Amino acid sequence: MANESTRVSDSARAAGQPEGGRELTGAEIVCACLQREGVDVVFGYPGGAILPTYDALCRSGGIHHVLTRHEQGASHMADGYARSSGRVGVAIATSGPGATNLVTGIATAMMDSSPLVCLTGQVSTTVLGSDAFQEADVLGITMPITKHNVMVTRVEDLAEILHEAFAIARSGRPGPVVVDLPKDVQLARTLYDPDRPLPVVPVKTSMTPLDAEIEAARNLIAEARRPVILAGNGINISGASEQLRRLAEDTGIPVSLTLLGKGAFPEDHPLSLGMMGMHGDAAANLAIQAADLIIALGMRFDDRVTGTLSTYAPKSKKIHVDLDRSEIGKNVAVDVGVVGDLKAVLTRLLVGIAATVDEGWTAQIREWKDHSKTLDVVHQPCDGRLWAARVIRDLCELTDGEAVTVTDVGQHQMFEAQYYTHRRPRTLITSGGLGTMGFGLPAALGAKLAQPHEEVWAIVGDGGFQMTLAELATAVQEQIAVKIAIINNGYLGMVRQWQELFYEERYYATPLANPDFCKIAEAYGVPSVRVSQRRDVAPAVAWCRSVNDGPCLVEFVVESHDVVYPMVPAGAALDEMIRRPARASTMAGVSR
Amino acid sequence: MTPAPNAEMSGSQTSGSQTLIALVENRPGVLNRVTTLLRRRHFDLLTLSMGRSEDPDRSRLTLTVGGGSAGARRVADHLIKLVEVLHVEPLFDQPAVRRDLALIKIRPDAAELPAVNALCSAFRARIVDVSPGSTIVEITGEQSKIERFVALLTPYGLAELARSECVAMCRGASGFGASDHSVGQTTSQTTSQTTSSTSPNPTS
Repeated sequence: MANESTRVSDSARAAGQPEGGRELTGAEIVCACLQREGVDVVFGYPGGAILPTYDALCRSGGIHHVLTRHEQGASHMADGYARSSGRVGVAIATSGPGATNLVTGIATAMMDSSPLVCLTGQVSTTVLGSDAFQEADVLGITMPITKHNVMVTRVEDLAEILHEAFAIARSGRPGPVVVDLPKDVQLARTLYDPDRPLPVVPVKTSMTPLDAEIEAARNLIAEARRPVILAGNGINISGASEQLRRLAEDTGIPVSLTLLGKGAFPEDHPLSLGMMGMHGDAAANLAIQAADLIIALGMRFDDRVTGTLSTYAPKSKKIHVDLDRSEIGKNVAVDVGVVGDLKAVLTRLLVGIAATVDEGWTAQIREWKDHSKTLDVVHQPCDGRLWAARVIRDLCELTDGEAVTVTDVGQHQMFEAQYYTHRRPRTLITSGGLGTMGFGLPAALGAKLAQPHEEVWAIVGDGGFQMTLAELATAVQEQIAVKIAIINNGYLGMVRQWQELFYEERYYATPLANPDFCKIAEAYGVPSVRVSQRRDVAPAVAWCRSVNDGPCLVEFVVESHDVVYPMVPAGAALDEMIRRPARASTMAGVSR
Repeated sequence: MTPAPNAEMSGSQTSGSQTLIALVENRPGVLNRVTTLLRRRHFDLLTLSMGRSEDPDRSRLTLTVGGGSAGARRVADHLIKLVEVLHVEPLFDQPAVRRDLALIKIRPDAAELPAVNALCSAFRARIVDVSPGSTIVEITGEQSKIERFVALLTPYGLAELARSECVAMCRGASGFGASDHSVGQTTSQTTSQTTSSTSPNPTS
């Protein structure tokens, strides 16, 4: 084969060793490249095989290293950093178990198109493949869950590969890139030229749609009477929320968002339909099933969004715009597929756009939205007990819907999505695709470090929090002022919900014997308060907002027997939702 | 694999085998990357052949996949996302030469050799080794021809069969990369920056 297992551009290979520059070790080159990429903070955990790079980080200065308590925390923090800022997040781990501990975070980032560069130490090239101490096949393990991965086997290729890793992570549809660094490569020396041109990721597929494709989309929009826009994370990644708002307002077409799309369109806008999907707003799901045109923008028709595919949006033509050609037609056949960057495509589409939305359609949607409000738990009389939905709605009102919220996965996540009104992109950070419990706390720490001026709330369940709660120590050591809201219902709530609805209430392996979370917080040096009455929510939130020198924690002890409504059961059509029982008195019926 | 549930798709769009050609960087691990992708997406891989191309830095793959033209399109759209895959082209109905090479070891009796010779001439196959008690026959051709030939030789004591599986090349001067179906670049690398709005991290 032509080369060692490295990937460098043809020009770099032809050039051989870089000309000019200083002689540096591989570890020093890593630091120089990170600085050249503008990296200000990295998240990691040291160990033998990555120690040369840690020593170089120590000596180089300029890059802040956040010591996590587990490598999974490092990859989630880098992910939270990336999602809140749009910049590339960097995680560092040693070989073997260090690298394998990153895996869940890498897969989480891959599913939600988040740009990461993960640097992993590796045993020296001289012992590769010999089952050396702390050796693991990191390339093989991470190949299916990365956008790209590479092992550097020659120090001469290191700078080019690292810069290419950043370019790949952030270009096109973003994603995680793993760079595996054998110890001897970190120690070897070569000339480093800090002024070498940065590598460019070649564009292999056309990202510039034809005029005819744009025109076809515009024509379908002009002909539609009952259209609906479905917007996803692609809008946030592309920075196209302004173009989306113009499209909605210029045409009068209502907008529904995916979970990861939240923030792409202001949810208090008159044309907002709310979230779609399994726990989406009923109005959104009903509209999708009745629509005559679906305009899908930067979303991927995930199964949690569509329900059963065979009955999905049966009356509609479909336009699908996405940067990733492989998403077009993957799950749902479309009439017009447009491959391109959302901002550029929408800017072109807006020229001469016109639509004639039926007045009856607008009225029908209003009626659906009004009906949903009558069923909504937050519009029912307060019975004194603490419902998770009310906690989230109160938090939203008390923070004016302006906080950055980072959730874990489960019922509290869906309550957040339903009851926290987001208006700006990148203000909800949540693991949508992989559904990773344990994501919330570390991702919130990364988000706060990326956007220190933002008020960042980690909203976590009692189950997921315990998966990564050791990162409380990281928050304290780094004095990261995140506000942690534990929605404690004493159960793995979402699993409990499925057991209640579909497994004849056999609550097996879901009740949690929890520790005293406030004492845990105290042990870590985190101030905390426990709330179990509705009237105590506002004072607790106000207190939390006054703590600005480090983390603080509120434990909300909420009703255990609660269900996220509406719910589209597995195998059902999107409009076959289980709705919240109509009367307040039945709330007691739910609470057995 | 779950093809898009498109009611208008005809049978040939979702069933039957299709051939794809891919150019990839000639590096260790590239084949692993390609097969990992095909496995994890549950694509129906029928044959895969990898070898050198006209450019020493690039390897050429020929794949045949099930799932009809829609399946081939999906494989192409995913393969091109791999950084080391430079170009992918589903052949669909393009005029192309498709060849498979087979080495067939049989154990004919001495009395059967004339019949084997006759079969070989009829199929333009060659006897490449005659040893005591065994004979190796070499044949190239389309898959169906080889299968018929192997079936006809089987009565003479089929001992071993080794096949290269399909390699393919489009007919005509325009060649690889010229078709409307192709994705990726063939010879010169495109140097334009991607359309992503995310810029490099601001220097702190």
